[in-house]
Amino acid sequence: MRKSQLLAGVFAGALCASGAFADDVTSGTSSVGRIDVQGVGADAASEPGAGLMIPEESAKQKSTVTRAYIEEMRPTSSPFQALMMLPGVNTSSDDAYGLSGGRLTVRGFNSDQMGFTVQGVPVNDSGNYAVYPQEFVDIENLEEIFLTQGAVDTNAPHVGASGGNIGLVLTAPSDKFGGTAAQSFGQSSMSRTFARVDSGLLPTNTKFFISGSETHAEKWRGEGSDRRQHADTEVVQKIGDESDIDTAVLFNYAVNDSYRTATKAQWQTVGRKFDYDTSFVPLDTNFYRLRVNPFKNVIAETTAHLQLRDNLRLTVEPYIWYGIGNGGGATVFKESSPPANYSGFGGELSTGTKLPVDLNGNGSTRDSVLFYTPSITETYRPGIQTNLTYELDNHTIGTGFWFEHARHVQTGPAIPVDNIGNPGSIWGDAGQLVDQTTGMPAEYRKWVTINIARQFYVQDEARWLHDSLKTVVGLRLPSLERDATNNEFGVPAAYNHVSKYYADFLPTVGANYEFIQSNSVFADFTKNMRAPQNYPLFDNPPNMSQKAETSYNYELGYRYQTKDYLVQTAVFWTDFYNRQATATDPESLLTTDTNVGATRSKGVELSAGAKLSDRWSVFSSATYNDNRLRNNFLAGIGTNGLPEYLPTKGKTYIETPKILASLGTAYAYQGFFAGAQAKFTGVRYSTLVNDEKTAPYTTLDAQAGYHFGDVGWVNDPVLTFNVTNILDKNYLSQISTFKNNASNVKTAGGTVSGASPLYMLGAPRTFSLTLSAKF
Amino acid sequence: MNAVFRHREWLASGYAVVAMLAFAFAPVPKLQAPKLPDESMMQVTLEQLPEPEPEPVKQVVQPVSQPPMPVQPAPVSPPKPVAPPLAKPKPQRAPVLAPSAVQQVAPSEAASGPAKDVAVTEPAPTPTASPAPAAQVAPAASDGEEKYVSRLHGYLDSIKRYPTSREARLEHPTGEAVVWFVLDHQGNLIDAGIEKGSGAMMLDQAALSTVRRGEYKPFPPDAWGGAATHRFSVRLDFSFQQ
Repeated sequence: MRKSQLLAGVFAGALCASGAFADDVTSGTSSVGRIDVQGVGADAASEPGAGLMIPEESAKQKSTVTRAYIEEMRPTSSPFQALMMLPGVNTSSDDAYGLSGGRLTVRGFNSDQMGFTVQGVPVNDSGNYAVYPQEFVDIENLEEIFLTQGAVDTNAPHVGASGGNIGLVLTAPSDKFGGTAAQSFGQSSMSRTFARVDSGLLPTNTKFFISGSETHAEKWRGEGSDRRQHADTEVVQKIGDESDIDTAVLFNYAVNDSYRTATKAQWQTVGRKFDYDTSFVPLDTNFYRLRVNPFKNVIAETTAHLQLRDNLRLTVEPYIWYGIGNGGGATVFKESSPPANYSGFGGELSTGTKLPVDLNGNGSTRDSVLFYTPSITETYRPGIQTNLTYELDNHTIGTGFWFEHARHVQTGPAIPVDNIGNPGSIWGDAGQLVDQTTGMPAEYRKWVTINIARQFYVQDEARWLHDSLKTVVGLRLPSLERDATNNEFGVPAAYNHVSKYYADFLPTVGANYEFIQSNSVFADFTKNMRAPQNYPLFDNPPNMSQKAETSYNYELGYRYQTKDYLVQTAVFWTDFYNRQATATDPESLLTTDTNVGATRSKGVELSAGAKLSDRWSVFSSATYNDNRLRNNFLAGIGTNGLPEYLPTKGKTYIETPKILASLGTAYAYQGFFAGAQAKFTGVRYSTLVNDEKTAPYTTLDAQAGYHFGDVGWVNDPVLTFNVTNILDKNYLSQISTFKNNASNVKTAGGTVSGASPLYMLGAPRTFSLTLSAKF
Repeated sequence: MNAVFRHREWLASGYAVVAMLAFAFAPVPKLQAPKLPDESMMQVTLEQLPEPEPEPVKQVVQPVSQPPMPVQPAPVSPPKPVAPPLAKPKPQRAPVLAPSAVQQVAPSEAASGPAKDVAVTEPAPTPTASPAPAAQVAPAASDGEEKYVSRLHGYLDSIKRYPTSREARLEHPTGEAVVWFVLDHQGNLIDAGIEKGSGAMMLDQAALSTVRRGEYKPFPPDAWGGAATHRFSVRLDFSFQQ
């Protein structure tokens, strides 16, 4: 401050000295007029980038999908599908409609390594960081999705994000009273009905909307269906001119019959029909009705934005996330030797072996009995975030605190199955096999994890050189306390209750410099951390030495941004330590967390958008990512006492395509609109030793529609036709379970046997039609 | 004390909530009009700001009818908290097109490499804008002023930007900010500030940044009576809806 005073004084003195202002006068003020600054484009064709880019000023690589793009998508879509075209993103969905879940990787980081927020609320599972974006929101209410590749925002509430963060932002309630209704139909008997009512701005300075949707579709392979019911509401209460309180409640209820993952061999022999068994035979654990995924959850938050002083703004956001559900599953129990990890079956011999027991009440103790054995998870996660922003001269200083207390209960009861294969209760909450000694349900898993997350951050953004240079310095201090109580039968008392504390200092520094009009360079460094999932604490014995993942992310980029052209490109370098690869075995439903060591990822990302004319806009992105393991992986110790090292050093890391490219376009003319998206995904490896991979593939999607113009009291009816995977490509979309090695590998310690990785299959060409209107 | 420590997180959050309530209900000072270099120079003609219209230029230029202001040898503002060091105009900005009495531009100006034509950065030229700076000679001084102001409008319209920070994307603030700024003869930005806030800190900052980032052309000859500097104001209306 003092320096600028001095310089201004010198400047003034120089002016005086030159005598240039002897008789000059600055008289009056000329008004330059009014300039409209729109935060969002009217439609995808009217902005450069087809709705997939906005001008960015961040010191980090960042991409944004806007409402203009989202509104032309099929309305059943999940937010993952909306991110498909962005640089660094490799996404796949189990089905074309996005109802059944999917996977996302960004620069080779999994979705469970990315931090997700909805309206600022962190939504990653507190135990394993998984995200299920099809649960969060109806996309009619989704304003935009922002993605920061590689670097987690300093003020983002995450303890499990090592690869960046993604934020979903809801649309604000409208200022005008009205409503929207939409009906969709599509292949596989898809039907979706959506309705929303906006109150408009009421005299009390309040406005709100409430919406609901119901979706149903058959699976595209095998038997079974997806059913989803969803409701969103948002209330905004303005306080004076500058402050408001914004409340949102998002509710989801879904029952999805799961898709079966296939090995490459199964896919090559059976083809796209491969799935769970469609008809029931006794003791068939792969009958589709036993592989169901019922889940219900609610996200509720209230954010108070308070302008305390002209230069001081406080945001307080208490929230709560609640969810309960399971992933299905089935097991065959032998009455002659009941499963050791279930309690209370009859008595026990002195050796700990169980006595035979009649599980199905037919008088015999020699049967094998099929049970539905879901792994049930229930999470109750209240938390609060506070952020304070202070403008001081050319600095914007932000500081804040996040606190969350999550109670995560995981159980595994056994439910009888009737003679045509139906489980007694898909939610697992009725008719459970009962522990004879306690009268409570017998469980193969009985875990309670209390996760207490705390984070403090401080950040200073400063503007220099006529606001053309922006520097950012920040520090994030996350901590996580995991308190694990394991009441599983057979777990020694010493392992019943363990707790572990993880914390780290995460600095970030960056700058963005617009050196010539429309041209800027940016550079940043960020350290990220991800505490281990809770599974290791429930191992027998608990794995207390699982380290947190740490990543160091460096970026250097360039942007060219004008009204008609947007270009953003960055080179990045990420060093990852104690990288955790998670694999869930679909049969046993056991998840293992493997510390694969260190990886190094280097690459380039490019996104470019152009507005070619008033009616035509294009977008393209390309990514090159060389992501390799830096060490050999220790698979175990051989019988001869020698270590079994797999030759993984220098191998390409799993699930990371070396090359990604996308091309999108949007066109609009007098009520008619159309667009297309092409995405190329390169080779991906599914084993650490790179002895199995998926072939590269291209998918092509398109949409077209027409705005009919108001008819009576019906406003803006729109008919949209969406088709995905036009080329009907038959491809392996997701590597759902990786393996260390697919074929046997000889090591010093002996032969390490291979196992086949498991994949999801890409959905076939799918059409749908949507009619929507406003009132 | 043990109990306090055990519940420290809840207490901290509770404190934050209490503080928030206290601030919310405490009397908040109104936003003050920004301090101008000299009170007597304040000739803010807000009433003349035009309503939404395609051609703002026509209504804007008013021949100076107020009594001439007392000569101010130092029109530069006293140090303002928000001003970055303005006394060092960047060598790359505002190429000198005509020799000018006021040598405020750094000596390396003449030797600066790419002589950037600022007009190149206007991808959507306004109807009145002419890309060739040399052809700005206008018969009457007020015509030149009109053209200059309308070109300013077109230029600011081409570099405007809605804020892109994480907070801005989450909150999507809307509002109108009026920014005043003083340019000198050469087109250097002398100072800028908020004349009327939008009510949203982020928008005020974005509006100021838009003006500060700009690279402006020199005045047409004899504009505003040959004044060495001139004050402008622009209204930036931030909205977020389709």
